Amino acid sequence: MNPAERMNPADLGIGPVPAKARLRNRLLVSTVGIAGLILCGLLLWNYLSFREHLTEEAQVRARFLADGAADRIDATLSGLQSLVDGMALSLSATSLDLTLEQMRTLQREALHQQPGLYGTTFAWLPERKPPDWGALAPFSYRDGDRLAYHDLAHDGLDYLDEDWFALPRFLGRAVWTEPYIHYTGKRMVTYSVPVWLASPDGPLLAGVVTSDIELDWLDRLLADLPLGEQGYALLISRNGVYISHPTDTIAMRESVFSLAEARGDPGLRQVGQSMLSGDPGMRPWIGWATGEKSWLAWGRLSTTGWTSAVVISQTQLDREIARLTQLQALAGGGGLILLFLAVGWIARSITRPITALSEAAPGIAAGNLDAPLPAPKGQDEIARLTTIFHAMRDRLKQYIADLEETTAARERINGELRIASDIQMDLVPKTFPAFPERNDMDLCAIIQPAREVGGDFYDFMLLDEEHVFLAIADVSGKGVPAALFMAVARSLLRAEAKIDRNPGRMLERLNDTLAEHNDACMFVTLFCAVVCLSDGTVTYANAGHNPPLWLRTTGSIEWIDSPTGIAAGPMAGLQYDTGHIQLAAGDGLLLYTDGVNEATDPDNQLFGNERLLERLHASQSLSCRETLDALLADILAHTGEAEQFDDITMMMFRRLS
Amino acid sequence: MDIFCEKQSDALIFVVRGRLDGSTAPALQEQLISQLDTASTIIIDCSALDYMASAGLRVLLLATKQCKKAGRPFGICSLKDEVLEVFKLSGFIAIIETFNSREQALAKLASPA
Repeated sequence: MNPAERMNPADLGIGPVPAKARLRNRLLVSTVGIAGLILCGLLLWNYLSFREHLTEEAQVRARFLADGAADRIDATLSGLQSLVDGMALSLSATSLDLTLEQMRTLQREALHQQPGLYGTTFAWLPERKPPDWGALAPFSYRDGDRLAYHDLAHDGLDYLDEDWFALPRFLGRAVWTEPYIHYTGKRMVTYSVPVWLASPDGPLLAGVVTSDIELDWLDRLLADLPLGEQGYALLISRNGVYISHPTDTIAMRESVFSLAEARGDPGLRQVGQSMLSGDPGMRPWIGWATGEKSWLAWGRLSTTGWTSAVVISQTQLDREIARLTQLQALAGGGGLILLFLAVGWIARSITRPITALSEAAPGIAAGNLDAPLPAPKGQDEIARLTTIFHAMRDRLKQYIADLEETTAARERINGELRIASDIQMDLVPKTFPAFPERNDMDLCAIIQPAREVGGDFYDFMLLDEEHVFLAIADVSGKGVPAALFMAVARSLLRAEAKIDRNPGRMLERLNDTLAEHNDACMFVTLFCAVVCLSDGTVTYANAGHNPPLWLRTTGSIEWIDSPTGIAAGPMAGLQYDTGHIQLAAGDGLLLYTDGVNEATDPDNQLFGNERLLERLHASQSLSCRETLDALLADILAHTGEAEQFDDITMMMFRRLS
Repeated sequence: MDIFCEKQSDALIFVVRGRLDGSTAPALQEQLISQLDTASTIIIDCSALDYMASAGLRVLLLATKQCKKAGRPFGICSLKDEVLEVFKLSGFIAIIETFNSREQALAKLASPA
């Protein structure tokens, strides 16, 4: 291709692919985007359902742990309670008929049996003490690893006012005292049971059996509860005093209500009331120290009537869920990055040949067929497409090469045709006036081939001073074959005209010669005439040609349609008759081919004989040249834009004197 | 131009429709000449032929000559006035047999062998 015909791809409207429209990027964005959305949805769903689930579980656990703590404490305390109850019962049953030594032995046994027991006392109501007892209130207790003994009444009868004695004495039933700090610094609680003696007046109080129970193990028990970070457990007494609390300064020093008072927190007071109501319960709670959302659950000890409570942090749970979700998001994000890389890699391997192709193709579209195309790789659709592109490019190249060759050939033929046309036009005389020295005739002719060369021709020549030869002919078909035949026919006719002036015989000989080697059945319609200029005699013969017109000075126009014969060429031996007419001075002859009356307009309407006659009637005063010019103008006006179908040839002769 | 072939009796009938001129004549020549040997009689039905140029006449002349050489009856029938005029003008009406109708052509040409 001519480099000048190559264009810039941009001129074809083929710009680079914008980044967001690139296949690879679209694939990446859609795949990773959708996966990301799904991941986010999953994370959110996971987070929400997890949180709901864990929240429920936290509540269940809080209740469970609070109740569990209460039960475990109860289990320990009830063991001790049973022991003391048992001691009171057996003392009562034996009517306290035992010595001090026996009592102390009993106490030592109890301390041995119950490691949770710190000490145990039997305190007499003083007036009931048997006289042989050396002590009013024998008290056995632990002192480190060994057991010690002490008479609580050693320093007087102060114990009568102590809760542990007074309460069972006056309430007449077993009593758990409020917890207290023992002089050893340990938290303790005392369980006292009255011991009765039967009498005629009913049971009489003899004394009180007590057991002192150390409470430090409660802290350990509560601390060991699985409450999670920020979770804690506590124990409050019947009066709301904190027995165990993770904050040291609160245990045994504060009560729920004193704290509520100190903090000005009516919510805490309300909670305290609920907790001391005796029923287990649970409520949301804001941790005082941490300010975190929590769950507070509590249960009641059936032995002492205390309340065990646990706080489980909801915020902590939330944090854990968030941390878990974060981990999942992190893993998901990692997965997304992997997906991004994988899709990117796959998309790249898929689109690389497409990209290469799309970058190379505009060059081809712009006409640069030598632009390099990527080589097809593999057997996939893109490889196929690339192969097709190669084939297309090669075919295009081949096609253009062929086209160039064809064009060159056609140009050569056209050049030759132009030369042929020049030669053909030289075959017909075209200098007018043809005989300027003669004033006895007017002669003019026009030929306008439909193609470069045609099959029409006219001819004229002076046979001698008095005789002029006129001929017009139309070879079958058009173009080069017709032109070749025309050249032959014209030469033969010219030769015959010079040999014999009889038009009929001219045509007979011409026909015989043409028919000799004419397998293609070419033929020529031909009218020829010999005009005697001195007397106006015209002899003529017609081989199947359009009848000429006789334009008489009288104004009438006649067809010279007889005699007429068969077109010359197809078969030998045809006969042609010679006709005669007499031209008056001023009479004219119009010879023409069917390209005149059969000239067609775009609607296939013929120019027609009527219009031909009309024009001739209108131009009787005009010279031959003016008449032909006017006729040709009429014909061309009629055909308009329509393609010229046939050669247009006309010759007009007028005898002047 | 369209060309249809029909068999009737022993005759092969070419129905030529439209314009027979320099650009369409070669197609007729190709079909006609190649099938001349396939039937004992050849008839060209011109009832739908609107126009005939000299190139068309040449093809018909060619067929006439070849059929004459082979002794095979050949004729054309049902010419419209304009086409008949061309035949008359060129004088070929004296060389090529023409008939007013297909029946007439068949009756005259397709004689039993």
